[in-house]
Amino acid sequence: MTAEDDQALEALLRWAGRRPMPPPETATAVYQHARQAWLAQVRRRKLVLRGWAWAAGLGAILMAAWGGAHLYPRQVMATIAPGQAAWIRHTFWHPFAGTRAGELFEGDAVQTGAEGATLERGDGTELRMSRNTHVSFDSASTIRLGRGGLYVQTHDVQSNRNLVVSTDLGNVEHLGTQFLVERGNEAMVTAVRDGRVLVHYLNRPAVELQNGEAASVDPHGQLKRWDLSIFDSVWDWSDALATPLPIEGQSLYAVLTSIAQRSGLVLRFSTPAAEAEARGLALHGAPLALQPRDAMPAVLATTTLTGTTVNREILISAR
Amino acid sequence: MTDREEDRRRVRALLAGDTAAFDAFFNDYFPRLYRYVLPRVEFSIPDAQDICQETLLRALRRLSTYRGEAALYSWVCQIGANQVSDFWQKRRRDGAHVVFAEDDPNVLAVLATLQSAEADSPESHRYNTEIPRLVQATLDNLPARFADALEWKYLDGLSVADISFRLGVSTAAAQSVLQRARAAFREAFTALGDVAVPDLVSPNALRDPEV
Repeated sequence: MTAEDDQALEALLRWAGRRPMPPPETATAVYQHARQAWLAQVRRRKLVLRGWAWAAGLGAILMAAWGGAHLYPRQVMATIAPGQAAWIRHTFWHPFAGTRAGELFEGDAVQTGAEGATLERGDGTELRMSRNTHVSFDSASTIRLGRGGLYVQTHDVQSNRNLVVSTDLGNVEHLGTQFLVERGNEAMVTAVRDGRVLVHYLNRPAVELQNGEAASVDPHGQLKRWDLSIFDSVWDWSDALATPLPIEGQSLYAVLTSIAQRSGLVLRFSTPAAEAEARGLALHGAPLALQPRDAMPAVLATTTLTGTTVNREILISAR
Repeated sequence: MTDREEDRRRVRALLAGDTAAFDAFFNDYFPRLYRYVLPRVEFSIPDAQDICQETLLRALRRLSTYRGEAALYSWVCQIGANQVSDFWQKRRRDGAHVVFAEDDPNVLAVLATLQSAEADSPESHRYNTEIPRLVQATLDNLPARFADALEWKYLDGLSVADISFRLGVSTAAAQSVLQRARAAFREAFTALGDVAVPDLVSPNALRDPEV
């Protein structure tokens, strides 16, 4: 820029003069009013933003819960048939997952009242809960028994090899097909109907129980074991919860096999003729809602066969 | 950072509740807005104060709608222009029956005869009032640091070093600001002059710089 231009600009600006400033009292009044209104507006805006943030956070939690429940559903630990008097408490982490009738997930808990209840695992294993029993599913392989009694009847031993029923007095590791654990006021009682279990308690070596054996562990770590009779009354409550035995159209042989299996006994025939007769005889009637010890005489009553229980066997022979 | 980016940054700070940003906003824009409004309300200071206050409140309320497509001052100024327009509409409605004696054309004619014989001609009066206002309006519409730099340089006679200190930049950067401020002023003033007072602004008054 030339000096002449510079001087022309200077002259123009000097002639126009300095831009006038507002009177200080005007500036002060406008400043105070505008600042007050602006601060109130900022506060309102922050409140709104905070509200949106809360809403967004809540939405994210709900979406995560929904996603966890529906997009990545957990393994169903067991189902409980509707109509049974039991209370289910679903864990926080999947509040919606268990809303489908009777599905229980990891962390869920079940409590029975004056009557027991029957649950079923995905592999067909039956879990019968005595009255006033509290059970929670800690993991796929661990069932925690808080109080009461739990009867386990498996059909596939291999798939339940790691199943453990856990109480505060010890753990019962499943190695067979049917067993029962009760956590009463005084002790933990384990009874084995078929197969075997390992009882772990305190830091002592595990104790193996075979079918027909029972043991109790008290709070002092004292273990007592005894033999069970074939139709011992310890099984009464669990047998009462068993599903009625269907007989319509079934062969006598199939029904006797089921009774033997439910009783933890081995079915034997005294003669091939007796077995052939059992196989050839079809039964008719309503499902049998009887204890195993009463069911056997009932189904044999109208046949030419008779049954006895000896050495953990049901022996069928001609009358 | 460009002026628009600077405006957007300022708006973000205001929305976030930055009190320093509010003070800077007020100190930068209120005087310019006041100078814009005052002559448009017949130099009534209370009216200018009310309109400026309402303009700033509305601008602050609508800040979240500012997209940076125009300069922030132009955006605020447009709100001010609307307020002035509303002011006159309301004034016409409310003041329909109020006629000041000195506004009567006959009285004005008599008052005009009281002017001294040495009074300026209409052209020179217009020249003396319009051009300074145009110069000041041009300065107000330049980026604030350009206008400040020009006033510091040509009205206060500050050195480039002093200007660089006030701007918080290096001497070379201050020199650059001055250079761009001169160019911007010349371009804007010439364009405004051509439109507003074509017969009063000499095309040679500000020649192209030869920097």
